[in-house]
Amino acid sequence: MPTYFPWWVVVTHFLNIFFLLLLARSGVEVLSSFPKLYWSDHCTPGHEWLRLSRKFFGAESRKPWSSLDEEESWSPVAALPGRKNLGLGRHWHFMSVQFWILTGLVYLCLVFASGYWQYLLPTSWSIFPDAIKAAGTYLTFHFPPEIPGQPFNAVQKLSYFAVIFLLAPLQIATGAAMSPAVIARFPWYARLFGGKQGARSLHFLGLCGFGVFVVIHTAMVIIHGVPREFAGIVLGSYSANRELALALGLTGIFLILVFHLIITWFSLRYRRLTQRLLGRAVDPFERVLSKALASRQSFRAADISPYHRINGYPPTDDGYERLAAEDFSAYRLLVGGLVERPTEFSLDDLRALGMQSQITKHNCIQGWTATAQWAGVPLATVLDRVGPLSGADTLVFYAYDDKGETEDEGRWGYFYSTIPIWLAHKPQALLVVEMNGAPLPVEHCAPIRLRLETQLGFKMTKWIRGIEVTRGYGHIGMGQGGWREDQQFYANAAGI
Amino acid sequence: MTGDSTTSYADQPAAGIQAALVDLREGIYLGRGKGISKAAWRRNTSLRSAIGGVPTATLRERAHLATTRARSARASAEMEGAWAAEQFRGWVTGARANGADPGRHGTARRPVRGWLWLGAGVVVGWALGRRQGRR
Repeated sequence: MPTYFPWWVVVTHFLNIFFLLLLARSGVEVLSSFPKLYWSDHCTPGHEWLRLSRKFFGAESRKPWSSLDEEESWSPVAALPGRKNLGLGRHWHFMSVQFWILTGLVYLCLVFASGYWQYLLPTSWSIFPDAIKAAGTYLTFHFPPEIPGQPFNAVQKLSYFAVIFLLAPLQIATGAAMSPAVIARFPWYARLFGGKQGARSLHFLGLCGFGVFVVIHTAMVIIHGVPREFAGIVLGSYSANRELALALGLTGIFLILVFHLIITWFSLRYRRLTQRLLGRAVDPFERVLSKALASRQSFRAADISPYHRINGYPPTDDGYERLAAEDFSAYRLLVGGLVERPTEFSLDDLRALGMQSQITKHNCIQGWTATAQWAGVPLATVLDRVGPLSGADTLVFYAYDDKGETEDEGRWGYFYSTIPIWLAHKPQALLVVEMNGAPLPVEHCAPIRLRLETQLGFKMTKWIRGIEVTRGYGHIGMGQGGWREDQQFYANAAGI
Repeated sequence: MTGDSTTSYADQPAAGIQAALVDLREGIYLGRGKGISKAAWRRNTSLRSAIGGVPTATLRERAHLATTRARSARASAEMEGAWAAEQFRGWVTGARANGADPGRHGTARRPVRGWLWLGAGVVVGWALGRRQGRR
């Protein structure tokens, strides 16, 4: 039998504290962008089972509202980095989760290779009555007996088993069920959790589960005696030097807290640099995922959401208002750049290219979802018509909405977005002109919006004015691949 | 993905379309909206070079700022103006007719502090109880 606290348990326990705290704080940041939880993927306002916001959006309000108004600014004490930095929060979350999973895999390999599993896996049903007895013993202010030859009593063994073999995998599985690329390719996978919102709610409850575990675990360490427990988990033996263990353990906790202070400050102070550094760890994985997976969604008419949130206010410039007043009869979509045949398309021209209809689920980066029927011309058909030149690898979509007027918050400029050209050839990539059987309404981005069903909503440019085929995107805007990437430090990779 | 690219299409057909797209590209951060920061603009050399060089940017920036400031004071009022409000009123009303209730939003639930107190109470109570038991 292995020792109670071999060196690799000491190391992975410390790494687990380190990464779990990163995951929890960055997860809180992600939650702050849409602090409501649903069980249904329709996300109908007012039907959430948990709201963590005081904001009020009413039908009688004089001001129109969009989903961006639901975003909260939470304190950097709780969130990483806090203050409405969803893009950076996601970077920290996806960077940390890779290393957390790696730590867990190494731990599990060693658990099973060394025989340590005998300390963690219940091998008899008697563990349940024994655990209840042990919990009862704690409640009578006594210590329950340890299992002979094992480091833990029954309730400890059962709770470690639950956290390591049930809760942690559940968090990973529900996290994957929130990736638009994954659930567009495997819609059945999200259904295992009751849909994306079910997965999101379970993911949040899992976070709460970890929180409860940490509170009780810490309380138990205090109750059993901090020096004794630190000697075990820091120096590997209850009989080790307790003063030294206490000093090292407290130093480790202090360093983790200092690290969090530094990265929070750094992330808020150097947002572009943080975006670039963390992007190196996250973006390649996302690109592989987006490239490999193609949308296979096919929802029924009955699945269409009764209510589809709006993301962003419509353009306010005079030219757009004139087009809207004339039902976009004078609208022309410009498609050019590195192409053989730069072309202007009217809405009728686009319809004549051949319409495709699909019922798919929208995945907003904030976290909400809604299902709708979209009809339009495949993006690949439009590209075939204009003929991209060799070497062209990027599509730039220019929009009518000046975000300085419609979104503000210190940001400015016309919305634009870029996608790699191979994404345009994916199934269900559409230039949409109709929603739920009617022409696109203004609030849902008339006259044309993009649908990329394996991506998050912010890549699906709305109120499209023109499409430019280019080589690379470094020369567009601030060079990050899109308006939200430029101004909100999102990753230019939206499959997760 | 971020390599060189053609920024002018003078040798391409349909020059009007190409020129319009170049205007869109160069005009991304010359919008009329509020929120533009002169200092931020000046700091951001990559942005200035991206729109075709400093002298042009500075000239356009000045013209832009002059109009932006006048407009920005009115921007919020414009957002509540008849056109945008009508669009959204129709949407909200339509959603409610379909069974949604966008007006119902509760107050925040913040039970965290209560749970912390409860947890602390349990630990303290346990310790006191154990001390009592020893006596």
